Amino acid sequence: MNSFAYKLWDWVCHQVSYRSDNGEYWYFPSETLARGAGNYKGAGDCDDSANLLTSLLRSAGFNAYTVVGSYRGLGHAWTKLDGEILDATYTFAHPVPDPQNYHPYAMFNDQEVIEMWPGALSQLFQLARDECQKLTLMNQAQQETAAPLGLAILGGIAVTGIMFGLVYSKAKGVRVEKRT
Amino acid sequence: MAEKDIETTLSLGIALVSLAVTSLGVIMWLRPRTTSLGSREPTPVSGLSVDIPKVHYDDSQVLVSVRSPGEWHELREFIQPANPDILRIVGNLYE
Repeated sequence: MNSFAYKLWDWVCHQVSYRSDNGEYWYFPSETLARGAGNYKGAGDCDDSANLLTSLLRSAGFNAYTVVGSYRGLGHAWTKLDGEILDATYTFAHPVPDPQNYHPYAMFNDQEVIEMWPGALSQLFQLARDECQKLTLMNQAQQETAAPLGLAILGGIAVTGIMFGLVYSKAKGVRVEKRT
Repeated sequence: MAEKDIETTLSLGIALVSLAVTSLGVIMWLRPRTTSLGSREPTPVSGLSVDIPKVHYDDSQVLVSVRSPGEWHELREFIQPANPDILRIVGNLYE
C-alpha cells in the first residue's frame, strides 16, 4: 500500500474515537471531526470513520471507496483502496485478519455509487446493528490470528533455547576433552 | 579456575538471554490481544432521532435517509475531498 495512504488510514484510526449512534445517523466529515474530545480530533462509528477516511484518500488523489455491507451478518462500513479493506474502527492501521467476513453490499465515493446487486442498499439498511457484538467479534478475529503467531514465536524461542543448549554443551565437551 | 568462571558467566548469560527473549515473545504475543481495538467501547449517543434508514432512487441519484427523519441526502455527498477540513488534514500530513 502507498505509504501516504497508510498514513492517512493510521491517522483516522488514532485520531477518531469510536462513538456509536443511537440508531443510525451518518455524520458528514466536518461533523465527525467536530465531535472530537480530549486527545481525539474526531469521533464517530464505522460509517463516519469510513467516510472521513475515504474523503481524505480521495483528496490525496487515491481511488478509494466507502463500502457498506455486513460483517458476520451485522451492518458495517469500511474503506476500500486497490482491493484492500481499510477498517478505520481499529485503534491503529493494520490489515484485517478475516477479510472473508466482510461482505460488500454497495460502495461509493464522491463520483459514483456501485450497488453489488439491484436493491442492495435497501437490504443493507435491514441488517441488524449491534456495535457491541460487532466489536467483540472483530476482537475475537484479532485474537484468533494472534494465537498462532504467539505459538510460532514461543516455538522459535524454544528452538533457539535448545540450540543454545546444544552449542553450550558441545563447547563444554570440547573444553573437557582438551583438559583430559 | 578461570574456565569455571567463564562457564558460570556463560550459564548466567544464556539464562538472562533466554529470559529476555521469552519475555519479549510473551509481550509480543499479548500485544495484539490488548491493542487490536483498544479502548473502543461503543458509547451510545443519546438524544438522536432514531429512524430506519431508507433509500430512494431518483434518476441517477441515490438518496438516503440516514440522519433525521425526512432528511434526504445524495449518497455521494458524504465523501467530501474538497472540504477545507479534509484539505487541511491532508496538507498537514503530507508535510
